[in-house]
This record gives sequence, structure tokens and C-alpha cells, in this order.
Amino acid sequence: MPSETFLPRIHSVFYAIFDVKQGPKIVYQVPEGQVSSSPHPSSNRVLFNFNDISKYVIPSNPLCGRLVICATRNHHIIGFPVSILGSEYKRNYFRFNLCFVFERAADLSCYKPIVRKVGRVLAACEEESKFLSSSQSSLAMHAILEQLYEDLNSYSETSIPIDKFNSIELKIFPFYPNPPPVKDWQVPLALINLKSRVEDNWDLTVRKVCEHINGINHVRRIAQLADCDLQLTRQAVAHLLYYQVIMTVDIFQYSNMYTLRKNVQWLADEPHVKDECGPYVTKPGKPVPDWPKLLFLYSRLKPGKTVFEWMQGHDIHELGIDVRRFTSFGVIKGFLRRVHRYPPLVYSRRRTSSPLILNPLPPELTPMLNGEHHTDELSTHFEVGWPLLQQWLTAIGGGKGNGDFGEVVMIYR
Amino acid sequence: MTSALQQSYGGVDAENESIKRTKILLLGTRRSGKTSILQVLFKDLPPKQTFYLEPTMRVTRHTFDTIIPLEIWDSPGNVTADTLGSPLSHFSTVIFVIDIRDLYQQPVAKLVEFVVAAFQASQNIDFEVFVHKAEKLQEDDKYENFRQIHERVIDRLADEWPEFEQVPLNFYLTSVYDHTLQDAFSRVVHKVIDSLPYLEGLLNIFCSNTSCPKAFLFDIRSKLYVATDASPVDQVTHNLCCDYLQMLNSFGPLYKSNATSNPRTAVFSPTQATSPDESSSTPTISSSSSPPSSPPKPIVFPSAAASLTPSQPGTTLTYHLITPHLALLALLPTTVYEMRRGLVEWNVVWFREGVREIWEVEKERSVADSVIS
Amino acid sequence: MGASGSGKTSMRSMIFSNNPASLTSRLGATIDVEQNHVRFLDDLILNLWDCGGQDAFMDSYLSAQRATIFSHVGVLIYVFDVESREMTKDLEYYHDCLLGLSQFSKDASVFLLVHKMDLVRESERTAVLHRKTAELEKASGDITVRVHGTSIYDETLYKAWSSIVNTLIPNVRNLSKHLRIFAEACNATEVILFERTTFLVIATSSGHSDQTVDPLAPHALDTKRYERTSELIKAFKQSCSRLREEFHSLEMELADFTAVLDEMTKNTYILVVVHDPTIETAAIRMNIRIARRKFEELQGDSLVS
Repeated sequence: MPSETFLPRIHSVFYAIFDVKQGPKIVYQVPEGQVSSSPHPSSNRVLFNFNDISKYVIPSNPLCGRLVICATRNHHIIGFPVSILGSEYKRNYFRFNLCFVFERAADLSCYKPIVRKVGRVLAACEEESKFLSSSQSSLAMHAILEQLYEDLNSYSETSIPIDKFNSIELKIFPFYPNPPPVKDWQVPLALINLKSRVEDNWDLTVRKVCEHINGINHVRRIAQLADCDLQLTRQAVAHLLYYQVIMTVDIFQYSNMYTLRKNVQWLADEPHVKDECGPYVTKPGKPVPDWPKLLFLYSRLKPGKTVFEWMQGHDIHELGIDVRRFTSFGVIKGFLRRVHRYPPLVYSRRRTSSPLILNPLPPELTPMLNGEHHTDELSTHFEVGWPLLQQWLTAIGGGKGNGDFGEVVMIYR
Repeated sequence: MTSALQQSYGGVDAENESIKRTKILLLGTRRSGKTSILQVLFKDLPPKQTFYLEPTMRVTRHTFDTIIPLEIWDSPGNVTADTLGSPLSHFSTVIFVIDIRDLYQQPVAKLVEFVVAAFQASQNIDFEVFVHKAEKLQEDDKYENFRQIHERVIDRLADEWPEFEQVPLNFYLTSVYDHTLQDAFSRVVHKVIDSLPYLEGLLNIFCSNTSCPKAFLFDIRSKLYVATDASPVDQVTHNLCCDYLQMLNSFGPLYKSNATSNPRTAVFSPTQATSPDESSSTPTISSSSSPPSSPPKPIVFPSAAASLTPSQPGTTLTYHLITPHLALLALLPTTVYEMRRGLVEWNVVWFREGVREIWEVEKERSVADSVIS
Repeated sequence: MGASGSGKTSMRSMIFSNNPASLTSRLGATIDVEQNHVRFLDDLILNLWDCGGQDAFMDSYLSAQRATIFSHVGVLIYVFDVESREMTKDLEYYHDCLLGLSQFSKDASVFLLVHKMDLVRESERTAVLHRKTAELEKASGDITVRVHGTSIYDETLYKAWSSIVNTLIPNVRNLSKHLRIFAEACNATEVILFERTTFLVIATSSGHSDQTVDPLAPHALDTKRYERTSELIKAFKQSCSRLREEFHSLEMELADFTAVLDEMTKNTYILVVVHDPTIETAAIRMNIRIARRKFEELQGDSLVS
């Protein structure tokens, strides 16, 4: 049986209809007697009283054909009420709902598609052959409920044939949220050994993209290396992100700046940070520095100070530390974050480009200096490194160089 | 025995026996709705009540006076040409009523049998088929069944009787729950009104003079239209006019005066003098142009107007009584009705004169015919 | 309120939504309570609660929702199907509802509609209604109830609803008084004020619409004239709307009387019936136009007071 933490357990499955005489009523439930229909529940096994929630189980028109979740003190009831119109019905419609009951605390996201599908399949059966409304065939509903309850709880999947043409085929998939949109300057980093998992029937682009995921190449570069369309590459990376087998970090350059996050205060004591850091960041064959030393080095990373300056200040080279791995470890564990440079142009006076520059200044660059694009984005967009971009910015701002950009202000955040 | 079964729908009973009536025969299978049709049309029976009607056991004659006197024969379902009691050639029109759900052999066979019998008796009989109880089916099935019945009858006729090509057989889809019955029956009656072209001519003149898009000459009680102008009859407008007439008919008795002290009849009956307020009826013009030939009756010409759609250009639905049984219903542009009301009414007066003359001629002729025969 | 399928929603759709009787068969069952706000006169908004009659709902009205359902009730309209086969059960629920009402809304008026009278043969209707009335009055104990036999296929529906609505309009008498003055000014036999959308009778010049006809009156006015008029106009409005036209006003010079039906205020219509043939419809129209302002004011007043 799957553990509670992975998939929530179904406590009860019930099938309710709108009876023209009695109103909303439960026709069948599995297990028996869990949901009470009488106003005064007699046994302690009762989860809740049906009358309290009946208006969400058999609701008025606007809620029909939608997923409806309601809660009692201890439980969540999720259902998909369906109303089928037809003059052959006594009151011109047939309304039913097959509901699942869970712990109130349970995460229902993986059951949402299941409930929708069951509702739709049953609606189709009713429309085709009056499966639910005819008294004869509706007896089969009890068996269907039993199987849903047993199979979904035990195997997380089921296959229930209903009639010649319809069957309920269900499999519960864990639910992941959609990843944020992938940007060109992001660097995908594998969290598992991707290459060993690649299969022949995978999507071609994903397969090509996987080969170039190494924690160094950014998305745009991967697209070039893999010879793939940029948009498809972004989607492939998003797909891998969705399954949480990769994460994204920033482009490593010696000109980058980093700063610590607040959570370092407690992350610093976590064994998975403390113990993993040294071996990961040290170059092979070099002695592993102790954690207090490494933590000290992390704390020296500050906005306004490039990695290069930091390396010089602390003899990093001598310590045998792989700086790229050093920073990316911090980013992966979440206690370090990149400080981006945003270069807005404060006064946009037209200047003739300086003759000192060899590469011609791209005309699209100036409009992008509005404070919304950081230098990583500009670098990937124009496919130039930081030194050249720096020269361009100096030229646009009319600064003297060497950290002075004139009218282009550098904002670190 | 027959006189005991005779039922009169007209107002003038005394003359009944002495005039020649145009005969219409109503045939059909059991429970196809023949009596319902008559009761709804001529006895104001609410359609829902037709459910309670007893089956007709023997041939019954109903008389009905509109612009021409009619005599409608209702027959039981099992009647044959021989048990009818009158040769088929005496009828101007035979209406066969068939239930729309009767797609089977028997009713179709019976229909065909009568068609053959009728045309062997006389070439001049109009044979009409009412595919009845249309309300029992959904929209799509309705037209499908109608088409199938039509097809089967035609096929069968072709088998039975090769010369059937010359048989003008008309099919109508009818129901007592809407005005399709009135429309179909009106069209049947049109064929037996000899003076129809003249009435239509009058209506056309009225329409062109008053820029009226549609005008009907209705029989008040039955809500059949005796004639209409040349423009095509559209179902919705016809329905509206029927409903309007029905409303006015029902309104009348609600606020009646006590018979003894009816002020309006009191003013009009003795002298027919001009009353300055009654411009709409203006008897002066009528008496000056052609003195009424009938014995003086209380001449009141009720009229009514309902204005629809307050926004411009609106429509006004007018009603003018023409003879005791007939009324003119016209759809007029509201602007015309409000700005040129006098002219409209003047046209109504002339229209009324024309219709009355035709009516008188028809009446004389039917009396004369009966004397000759 | 009333048992399931007794015709509550059909009735509501006819009176307040202008649907023809033939379409009521297409309505679905009401789930729980459907609330409707009907602006009846300028400031008089009727809050109509159409309560689904299925057992589960009824039980809930009487238990969990008791206070919500029975508080602030102006009028309880309880509908009984004349052909109900479960009269004992219907009466049990009815009795419980009366208890609920006496607990939360003591002053509410109670109307009982014996509905679907069209299912009873015409000849037997009076007798059936009589018997039902006795039965229902007995079941109501000391609470005063008004019983109406109704059917969506005839005018009885309008009669019942006019009298229901009448109990809710403050100062009907004042309106009647002014209608009487207006009637005198027009030399009219009778003047009737209708609500615009429902065409229910608000007030008449001859006092309360329930009054019996004086046998000595000079005009043989039909006793059912008010509700018949509502029914006729409403039916005609429907046929107009089928033509995508809108009914606006009507004038008639019939054999016996002259009548003008026209807008009075922005939510009322007035019918003026005159038996004096010397009076022109145009004169009546002019009077209506002149009186319009006064009645607008009056309507405002009658609701404030």
C-alpha cells in the first residue's frame, strides 16, 4: 500500500443522484455506512452527515460540470456533479455525482483529474445507454464503487469495464506544479545522472539537449551546441524541470557577484550542507578545507565585489577550490544567491560611438538599458562576454572606463 | 333525424333551411381529430379540452356562415362512401384528417380509397389532407413524418390509379394547439369562395392606400381568414393576428353593459344618426354612398388598435369590424396610423362598403340557388 | 413551498418571467432554494424564495435551515397539487412549515394554492375546490389562510397572485381612492391599475379586487374580469414577443364599451373602461397623460408611508 505521504488514501466513495421525490440522496457508498443520511448519526464510524454537504454534491446548475470540493470538519469531499438534460427524464434532467472522501489535510491535486474522468465517463454511459438512470443497469454502480475504492487505494490504478464501449481506465500520477518559464541565460544542472536514463523513445530534442546539460552551458548555448530550435530547447528544459530532474543556476563568470541569503544562519548547521560542501568544491587531489574556513569564504562574497576580486583577496587558487563548483554549491543548497548587474541608462543623449571599440555597437542595446534587463541577459542576447559588454556600456554612457560607465548606472541586486 | 343532429354556428338560423350551402366533408380514421378540429374552430373549445371529446358515432352536419354559407359534415371513423348518406359529388371539398403518427398501411389505404371514390364521383372536388396532431412530435420528426405520409400516399395513389397526376392533392401540417389549423382551414375555404378575387382586390387597394404591409379579412368567431392581400402570408404575422382577434373576442364579454341599458346601442339603433364622436364608424358616408339594403340593424363598427414597439418605426395592429362576422385586421406603420388616422378610417369605410356589397350578392345568390335547386 | 412537482417553479416562470404555459413542461426541478428579486413597484422589491419540494430539502428547511427559511417571511405561499396522492404527507410538511412560520414570522400571511385545477373536469372544479378548502382550513388550525384554486392554463393563477401581491403593497386603499377620482374625471365605469411586467392587478377604482359585484350596478361586469384581463394581455404580450415586437398600448371601441390600456407610470399600466359612447379614446389618453405625474408621486408616497 502506498504511504500516506505519497498519495492520500480514499476514505469513502459514494454515488449520489437527484431523486425527483426525495431530492439529493446517496444511492451507493463503499464502505457502507461511512456517510450518514439520517439527521442523527448513530454510530461512531460515521465520517459526516450527507445532508450537510448535499448542496455541493447535487448542486444547482452553475456548479454542474465543474470539479467541486467541499470540506467538513475532518474531511474533504471531491466530486464532479453532472447534469444531463433530456425531455425523457421526469423533471427534464438527470443529475448525479460520484464523490471521493479524503482526510481534510490530504493534498487532492493528484485526484482532480481522476474525479473529472470518472464523472465524464459515467456521463457518456448515461447519454449513450441510460446506464445510470435505468433501474436495471444502475445496480452495477455498487460494484464499480467497490472496485474504485479497492484498486485506487491498493494499486493507484484501475480498469473497470462498464459496457461494450465504455470503461473507466485510471492511473494516479503524482502531481507536480508547472515550472517557471525558462530563460535563455539560465544554466541547467542535472540532479540525477541524466545520461544513464536516456531512452530511445524519448523526444529527440530532449535527448539532444540532455547531452549538453553540464552545469556550465546556458540554454541558448545548449541550443547552439545541440543544433536545436531555441524555443524547443526551452521547452525541453522546462520538461526536465517539471519532473524535477534538473535545476537551473546562473552563468558562471569571474565577473559575477554573489551574496549570502539569510537562511545561511540555519543551513550552515545542516549536515547535508556542512559535510557535502568540502568534497564537492575542492579540486581532485587537493586537501579538503574544513567547513568553518569555507563558510568564512562564502561570507566574503559581497555585492560589488566580483568573484575575481574575491579570489585575489583570499588566495583561492592556493586552496585548490573549484570556484564554479564553490558558487554553484551555494546556489543549489539555496544559501547563496547571484547579485545581478542592471545597467540603466540615465540620460539618453545620442553619442557617436567611440572609435576605440573594435566591435560595432549593436543599435538594439541602448533601448534595453531600461533597468529591466541584467547583464547576463544582455550577454546571452548579444552573445558577447562581460569584458566586451562592459566596453559597450562605457561607450554608451560616455564613461572613462574601469568601472566608470558615465551615464549608465550599474545597479546591483 | 338529420335535422336533430344539425348544429348551427352562424347567427341567422331562420334562413338556414332556405339557402344553398357549400358542403365540406371531413373524413379520417378513428381518433384522428376531426371533431376536435370543428370544436376548436367553430365552438371556441380550448385545445386542452379536446381530450375529453366523445367519439363521433354518426354523420353530423354543422352549418357555418361566413362570407358564404358553409355546411361541414363530420363523420365517424368507420364511414365509407356508401354509408355517408349523400353522394360524394355533392361536396365541394373533402378534408381527410390523418394523425401524424399514423404511418401505417390502414389510414393511408383508407385515404387513397376515398380519393379514388371522390374523383370518380366528380372531377371538381377539392381533396385536402390535414396531417394532424403535429404537436405530438418534436420539430425534426414532425417534418420527417409529414414527408413520409405525403410520399406514401402519392406512391400508393400512383399504384392504384395511374391517372392520379391530375389529382390536385394538398397536404397541410396542422395542430389545434397553434394557428396552423386556422391557416390550413382558411386556405381550404378560399377555394370555395367564388368572390375571393374581388375581396383580394379590395384588400390590395386598402393596403396600397394605407401603406399597410399586411391585411387580413378575418371571420371573427372561427379566426379563419376569408381573404388576404397579395403579399405572402407569413406564419408569425398570421399567429399574431389570430392571437389579437382571440384577445379582443375574449375582452368583449368582460366589461359588458347590462343589456337593457346599453348606451352605445341606444345611441345607434333608432336613427343611425351621425354622432360627432364616432369618426371611426362614420355611418354618414356609408348611408350616402349606398343605402344599406338589409333591414336596419344596430350598426356599430367596433374598432381597436394595439400599438407595438414604442420605438420608431412602430407597428399598430388595427381591427375594424366590417360585417357582423368579418373584421379587417391590418398591420399599419404607427406613424401612418397616428398622423393619418382619418384617411385610414375613410379607407376602411370604403373597404367595408365593397365587402358588404359582395356579401349581399353572395347571400342573394345562395338563396336564389336553393330556389332553383 | 409545496411538495415536489406541485408546480411552484412553473407558476413563478409564468408570472415573473413571462413564459407561456406550454413551456413550463421543460423546466427542471428546483435544487434547494432559488431566490428571485422581482422589482414590483419602484421601491417594492419582492424577494421570492422558490423552495425545492423534495423530501431531503423539506427536511433541511425544517431543521438546519429553519431560521433562514422562516425568518422575515411576508407571505407564505404553499402549493398543493390537486391530484396529489400523498396528501397526508403533504399536510404533515405543511403543518411543520406553519410551526416554523409561527416561530419566526408571526405576522406572515398564508396563501394556499390548490394547483393544477385544469386536471379536474370543469364541472367538478367547484366541488373539488370546496372539499380541498375545507380540508386545508382544518389542517391550518387557528391560522387564517386564504385558499385559491389555480391553474397555469387559465386566469385563476392571476387572481391568486394579484391577491397575494395586494397584501404586500402598502396603502392600496389610497391608490384605489385616487383611481376612483380619476375614474370620475374620465366618466369611466372602471379603472384598473396593473403592474407592468407581471400584469397583476395592483388596485382598482372599485376598491379591493376581492369585492363581490353589486347586482344593482348598471353594467354587467364579469366577476373574473381582472384576472381575465391580466391573462389576456399577458398572452398577447407573448405572441407579440414571438414576432420580436413589444406590446405597447391598446385601445378598443367595442360594441359595449370603450377601453384604453396604456402606460401609467414607468412600472404600471392602466386600463380605463368607459361605457359612454360619446367619449373618445383620445380624450381618455389625454387624461391618462395628465394624471401620470400625480400617480408617479402617489406611488412614491404610498411606499414611503
